[in-house]
Amino acid sequence: MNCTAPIRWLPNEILTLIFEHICVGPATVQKILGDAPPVLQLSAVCSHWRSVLQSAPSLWTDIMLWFDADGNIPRFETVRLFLEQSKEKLLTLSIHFDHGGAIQLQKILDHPAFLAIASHAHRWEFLELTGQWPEDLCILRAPVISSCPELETLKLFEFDECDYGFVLGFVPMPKLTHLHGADFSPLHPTHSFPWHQLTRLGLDAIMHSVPRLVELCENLLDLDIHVDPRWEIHVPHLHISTTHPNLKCLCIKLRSSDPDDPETQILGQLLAALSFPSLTELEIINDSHESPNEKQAVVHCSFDMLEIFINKCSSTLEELALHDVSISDSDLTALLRNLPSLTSISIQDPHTTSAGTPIDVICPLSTAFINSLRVKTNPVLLPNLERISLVIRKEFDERTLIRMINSRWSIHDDSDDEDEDEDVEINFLYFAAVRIQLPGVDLEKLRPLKAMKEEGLEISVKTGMLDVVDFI
Amino acid sequence: MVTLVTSDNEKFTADKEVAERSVLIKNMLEDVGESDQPIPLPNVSSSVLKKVLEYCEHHRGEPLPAADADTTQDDTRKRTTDISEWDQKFITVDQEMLFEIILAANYLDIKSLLDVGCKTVANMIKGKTPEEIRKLFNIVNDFTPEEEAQIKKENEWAEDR
Repeated sequence: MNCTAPIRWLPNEILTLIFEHICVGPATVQKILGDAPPVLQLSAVCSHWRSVLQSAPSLWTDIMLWFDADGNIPRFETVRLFLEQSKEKLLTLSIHFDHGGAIQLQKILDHPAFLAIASHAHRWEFLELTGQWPEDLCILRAPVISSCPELETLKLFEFDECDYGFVLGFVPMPKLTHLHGADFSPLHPTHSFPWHQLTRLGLDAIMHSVPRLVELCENLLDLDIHVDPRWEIHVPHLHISTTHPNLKCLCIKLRSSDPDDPETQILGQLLAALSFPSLTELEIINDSHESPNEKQAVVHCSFDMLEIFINKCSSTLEELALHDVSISDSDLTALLRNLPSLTSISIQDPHTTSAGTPIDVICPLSTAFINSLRVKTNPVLLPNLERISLVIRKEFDERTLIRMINSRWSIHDDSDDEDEDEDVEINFLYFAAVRIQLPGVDLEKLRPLKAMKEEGLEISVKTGMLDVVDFI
Repeated sequence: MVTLVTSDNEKFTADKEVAERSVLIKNMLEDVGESDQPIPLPNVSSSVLKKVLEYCEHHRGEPLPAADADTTQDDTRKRTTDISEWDQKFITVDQEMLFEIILAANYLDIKSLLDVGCKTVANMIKGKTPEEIRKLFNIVNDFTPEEEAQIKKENEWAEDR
């Protein structure tokens, strides 16, 4: 490299940091797909960069392999190069199978690129397998491999053609704790899958399978459920209810099928079927807006829908998040009244327009709701609250917001209220994050919040519809 | 207030809270205790320190990233090279200054600034061919004929398409 080039000033460890930002994500090692992986492109710049890359095995550990019937197969020499350069580092693999059945599967299993990957099964740490047939799971059984001693995360996708008679004996996976997938029918309970090891389960779920799978995982701590009504043939009636005594965190992501016909029953039925008496964190998130080309969909919540579930975990719940969910301010207040143990809330108003067209949503973060959080109310709502995060998308009174935060931040300095219940012990708020997504916000009115920050409150205030502006 | 002395002997004063965004300076201040003694920064020039202090002033009060922040496999896969609007404007400088800021951030141990610098260089490189990268940074292709042959072999599939 030319010594006068300013980039030559950078020591190798910084160059490696830069390369890590470029080589992020899986390297595709196909014969006929896309450009060369970034790590190979960078290796071709100069001898110095090449030597730096060859001294950084972690840049060679994330590999994506496709095996499909149309001849799209990995390039063996490239697979071998990645396996060599990654030294003994643990591997992150995405393997995609797309074939017509057993004969083609055997051809894949005999392919040198697959054999090379299988011979490094002792280094698999993260495996994402997109298959089609239950037989594709044979890559986790003998004689294809003998064990997966380091495998921690297994993600399975698109196993939708299931043969329930197919019996699998999995190799030992003593470190497997995280399983994520769309449908686990191939992992029949009778199979030797280490359900008892799982502490984290992610389900892109067909609803009826949720209670059964939760029951299988006796040591589960963390459950993510992604429900999409479009995956359900009809809104199911869950007759099975499940109690899991140890589960701590539940995240339910929903998308509604039709903005004009909200599917409230899905969430209601799911919550009615599940019971988690040790739950500490609950998130209910409408992720419909993640698809920018689709109309904004609405997820409606109501106190009635949440009441039964909340009552089952009301004494342990510490953190609650409701994002982009349509719920009235009075229902939300009633809900929070039943949750005095909460120390953290994160509430986001739903988006109120879609492509300029108003949609039927109710924003909970009204002035009345914000006011109900003031310590001055009697009885005090959420006496243990320490962290609050709000995304406001509807007109509100700025002074009420300031008073509410101030009342919780300087509880003991406030002496202008005689209704304060002295018997209730109230925690200090130490963190507040507010984002106001409204046009024409008068920032001057929010200036008192800056003073609170100067006095030590950890607070951020952001405004703006598309471009986010940091006010504090 | 803290007084900092650059390699070209220029003195800068900064709020302690601002200067302490540098872990190096924070540790030095803890070592010397209550003292008005200026802190020498022999590896940082005045023009670079001015920029670094501008960055620290803007990000005053923000939580410092944990040194041993644990990242899961999922996090690593989702890592982006997004840079906030203010940081982008701040780091829009010539190459020489960019690399000097990166070196200063590394020396002063300001993780977030080092991150912004590295992401900026990464964004400059992304999507470019080896030849374009060489041209951008004035790098000479110094491979031997044998290495060239090996590289050609490694990148062969581009020609299969």
